[in-house]
Amino acid sequence: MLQLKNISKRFGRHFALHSVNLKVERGEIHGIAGINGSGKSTLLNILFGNPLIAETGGYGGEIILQGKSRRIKSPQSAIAMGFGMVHQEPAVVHEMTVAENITITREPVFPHSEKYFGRDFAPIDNRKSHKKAQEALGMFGVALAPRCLAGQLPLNMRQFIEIAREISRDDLKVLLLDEPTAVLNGSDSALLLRTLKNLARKGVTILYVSHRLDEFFALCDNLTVLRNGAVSGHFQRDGFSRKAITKCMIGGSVILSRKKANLTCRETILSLQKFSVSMPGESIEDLDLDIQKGEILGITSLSGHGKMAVGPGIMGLYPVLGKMLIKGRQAERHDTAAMIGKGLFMLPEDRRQLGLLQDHGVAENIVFSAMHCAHRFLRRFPCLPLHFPDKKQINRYALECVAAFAISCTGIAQKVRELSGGNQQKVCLAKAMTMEPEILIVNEPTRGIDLGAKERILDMFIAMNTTKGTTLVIASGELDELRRICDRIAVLYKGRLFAILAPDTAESVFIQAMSGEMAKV
Amino acid sequence: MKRRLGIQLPQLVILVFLVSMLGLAFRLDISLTSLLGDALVRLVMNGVLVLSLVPMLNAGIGINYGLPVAITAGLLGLCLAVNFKITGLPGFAAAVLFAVPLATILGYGYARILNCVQGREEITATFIGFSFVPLMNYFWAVAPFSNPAMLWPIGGKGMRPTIGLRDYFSKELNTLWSFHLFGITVPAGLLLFFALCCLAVGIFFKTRTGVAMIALGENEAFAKLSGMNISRLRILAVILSTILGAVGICVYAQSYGFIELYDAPQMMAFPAASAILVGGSAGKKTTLLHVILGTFLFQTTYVISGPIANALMVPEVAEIFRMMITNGIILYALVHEGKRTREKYAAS
Amino acid sequence: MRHLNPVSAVFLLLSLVGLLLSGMRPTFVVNEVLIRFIRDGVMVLALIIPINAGMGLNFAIVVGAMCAQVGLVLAVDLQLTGFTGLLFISVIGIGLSLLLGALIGLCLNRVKGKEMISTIIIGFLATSIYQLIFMVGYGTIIHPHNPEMMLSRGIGIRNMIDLQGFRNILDKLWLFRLGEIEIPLFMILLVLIFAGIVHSIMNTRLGRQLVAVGLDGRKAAMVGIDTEGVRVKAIILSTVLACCGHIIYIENIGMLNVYTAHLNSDIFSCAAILAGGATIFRAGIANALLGVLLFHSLFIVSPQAGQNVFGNPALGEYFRSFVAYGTIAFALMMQRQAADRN
Repeated sequence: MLQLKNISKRFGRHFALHSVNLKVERGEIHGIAGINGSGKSTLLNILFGNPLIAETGGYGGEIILQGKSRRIKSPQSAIAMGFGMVHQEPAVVHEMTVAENITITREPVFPHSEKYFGRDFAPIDNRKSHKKAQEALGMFGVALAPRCLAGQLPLNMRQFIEIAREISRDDLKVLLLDEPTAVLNGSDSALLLRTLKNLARKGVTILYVSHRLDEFFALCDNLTVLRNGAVSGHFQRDGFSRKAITKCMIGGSVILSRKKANLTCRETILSLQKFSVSMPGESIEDLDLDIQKGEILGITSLSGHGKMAVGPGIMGLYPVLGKMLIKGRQAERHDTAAMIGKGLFMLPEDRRQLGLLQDHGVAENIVFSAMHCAHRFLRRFPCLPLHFPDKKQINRYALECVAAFAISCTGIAQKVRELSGGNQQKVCLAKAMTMEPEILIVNEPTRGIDLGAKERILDMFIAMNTTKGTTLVIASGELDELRRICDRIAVLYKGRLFAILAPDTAESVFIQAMSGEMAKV
Repeated sequence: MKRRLGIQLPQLVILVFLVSMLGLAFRLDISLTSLLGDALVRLVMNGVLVLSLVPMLNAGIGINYGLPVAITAGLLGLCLAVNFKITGLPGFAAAVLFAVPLATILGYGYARILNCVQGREEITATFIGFSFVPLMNYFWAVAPFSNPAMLWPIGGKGMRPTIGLRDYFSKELNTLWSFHLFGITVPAGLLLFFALCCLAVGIFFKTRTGVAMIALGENEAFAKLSGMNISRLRILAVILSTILGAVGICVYAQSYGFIELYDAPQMMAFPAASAILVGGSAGKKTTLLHVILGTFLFQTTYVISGPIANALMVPEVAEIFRMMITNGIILYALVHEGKRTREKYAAS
Repeated sequence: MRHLNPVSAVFLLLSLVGLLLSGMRPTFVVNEVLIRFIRDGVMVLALIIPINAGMGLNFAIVVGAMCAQVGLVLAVDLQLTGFTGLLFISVIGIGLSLLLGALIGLCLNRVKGKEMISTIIIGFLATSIYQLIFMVGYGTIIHPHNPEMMLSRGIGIRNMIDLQGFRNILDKLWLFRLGEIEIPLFMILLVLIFAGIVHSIMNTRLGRQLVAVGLDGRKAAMVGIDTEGVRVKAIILSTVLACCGHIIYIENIGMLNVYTAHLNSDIFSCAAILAGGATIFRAGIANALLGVLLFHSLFIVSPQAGQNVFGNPALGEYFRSFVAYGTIAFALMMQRQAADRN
């Protein structure tokens, strides 16, 4: 039915998928497992023609559907071929009604009107459309008023609307599901799995992406495991084993902890109490977390479960609720300037968009924050209240930094845009070091960076922590790295603190904690 | 990386247009030296107005299509100077001095409005400018000025649409220290004034605040993360633009010899915008070179096309062509910038 | 419309105050408003589709108006009159606006987020091209068949063209009198038919897709809607409707001001639909129809009110231009939250 040959996808220099091969039969439910960043969502995005793929240079390899080689350029073309997709975040338009969402692009029209007015201009028969929507929802026993606005419904209902939209299609051949149960509770998930089995019996092929092993056991005929963008294992129904699959997902590598965990109780430097951050797509609710002076605290979670929101929340970039005590005292103002004044600094995950001025030189980027927040590197114009950057001082300092951080650039005036990811991150680090913060928060420090540079950057963190005593908070999905450098690792689940684990805890425990399944261990 | 002044379509169009015009002017025996003198005058006459777009562009607010607000402040300054019958260079200086505080106040209010509409500043600014004009018309019609030279001769109430400056400070800067060189009149005083304005803007963008403003324009999220006060910087940028715009119209009026009130400011933002885009500022940091080059190229086509069209018996053509070029360039820049943002998304 | 929108309420209040101050007879005002309703109604309806497609106010409806004028000038040039002439104008106008609408739509797909400022500039640019063709092209490159409409110098068309052959061929159909009020029933029905067409377009598959694209372009793409194609179609429809609207407008006036008739039609229509309570993200038929009535009521009474109160009719004129531009500026300022959501 569906065959993938050597599917590859590159984002810049970074391979998200590397020659993935897959074969799925008609009516088969095929699971795709993998941890964060293993490339499973990218694979589905390619199959569904997500515009993101085309915008970033398309994909390599061949997709064969029913024996014919196909090129998927847009969701439209994917849908025309018979693909359907249920997204992690439902593609349901909030301001439209349930029925409008379910029947969109294939609304029932009045009889014969299509002949006279054409596809686009045939008037819609609203009564029939409501009926169609109700039937689709009824397929898995959900009753919703078709006139209700989708945005007023809870997230799980919106997910059902999306599923109803896809399964009500007559021409559906392959259904792609990207972690559909992330927003569903236990009974809703069971309902979904039952519906999917029925669908498969009717001959629809299903590709099911998840990180929950239980669901694969309950649902799938076959399972493919991805790791670092490549297929790392293939299992058939009778060969499913929790241990083998988990090992396949996280890899068998043995990691040596570089830094000795240092868990002696020290004073709390920053305390979050009932701390909520409303960051779109990655929010935190009622987080209680104490950060101790001089430690390296790792924060990890699956994407969407809040690890990325801790830093921006602390820096006051998004609206927050709850208390935040810095050295036991609540700050009067909670905005970025005030936090920087209190000795906090953050390096964002999105270096290109947030961390650097791409069109400015290396030197300008390194001293920028120090110049604007700490009024350093400035020279006053005689007799006028004008401050100019002190070029001489800046250049001298920048040259020192370039040497100290081993930033490879043609000169301190080279535009940051032209540097590699690793060197850009080094510039960011140099910028942060210049600020001499007491607490440095870093989001995804090694994303999109090649191996060699990764090591150096991790070394720098350790050096910063041991020589200067900087408290580091590192939010990352790269568990290996966190385990190597952190003293403690906080695992978040659904925006709340799920567990604080020592770095030498078994990896499988981390994986289970991240999926909220700790109780079973 | 492309060269810094890589020639793009707008420059190419304007250059081709300019060269063919020059050829035509040569054939029609129109004196090229006098044209060049005029071109120099027009460069400064409009240059300060074009320069006034720079702070807002560099702060990432976009092109100041609300230029009529700034122009109004300048017109008020001019009218005050004429009302007090101050003549000569002091008159011009007085106009500028009156205009600056007014521009600061107006600019502050204008900035507060623009801060509410982040992401849609250009269209909102356009309509703030458009609606400000009839509002001021109301004021001009009842303004309590007393110098009869400015009022309607009959009735003595309400301002005239055009006020002659011959008895006050018409062409004061144009003639200051001007000298002849190879038959070209070089308005040295005027050029010096423009150079000073450019220098002031250039120095401002070298200071800490100016550097912060450029960073804000390049990457707002970065600026926010660095703890900068974004709304304060934006307000400052708008006020600076407004003050420069006010000074710009003072220069324009003294050079033109008339103060034009009522609907005259309505469309003035577009040629200025077009000039700066011709200079090559589309979608990147705007430099003084863009301003000077853009204004010179753009205004020279104005200077040359007038006499040619008259010689060809269809005087409207010149104006139509100018309009076409003005708007064509702005549209090209919009589309071009849209393409750039798309590519930017693709790269990240 | 369950409640009177605050903007509409202000317009209603201002019109009533203006009416009192002007001392005009209400019946006269009603007659005038009805005429304006016929003249401008369809043009305002043309704005609804792009607004719902998330493209904001389409100031490029002037291009549609110009298409109508091109049709008219050609008809006069070929000396076509009566219903044949009208048919000819419609065919030329609509054909041209289909083509130009597609061009504008393609252009707007490249300036996402800046559609409104682009449509303004497109309007200006189109105006200068139009002027170039009729002021310079006619008599030099294009040879006229009807010398009466040329300027005496032989190049360019006259400013005013008398449309004797078309004047009031539609307006007098089914004309009723109700006391002093004249009701041209056919024309009112015609406007309402256009309203019905727009309404039913919003209720087709294309209409639904338009709304989905307008509300959330990214999600719309994910359910398989060709967002760019839909946006182009929206602009084409808008341009064609504007063209029809302008044909009605000129036919009703009976004179064609070749170089200026289309100017301001965009500003006034946009102000009118906003006066009817539309926003730059959402608009319905009711907004358009109510808006035309309210906006033009104020427009009719304000010069006379200015004359009576200040002894200067110009003040009333300034007031109404301020209202037209100010309404749009106000609408742009107010819709911040809605913009953040998108």
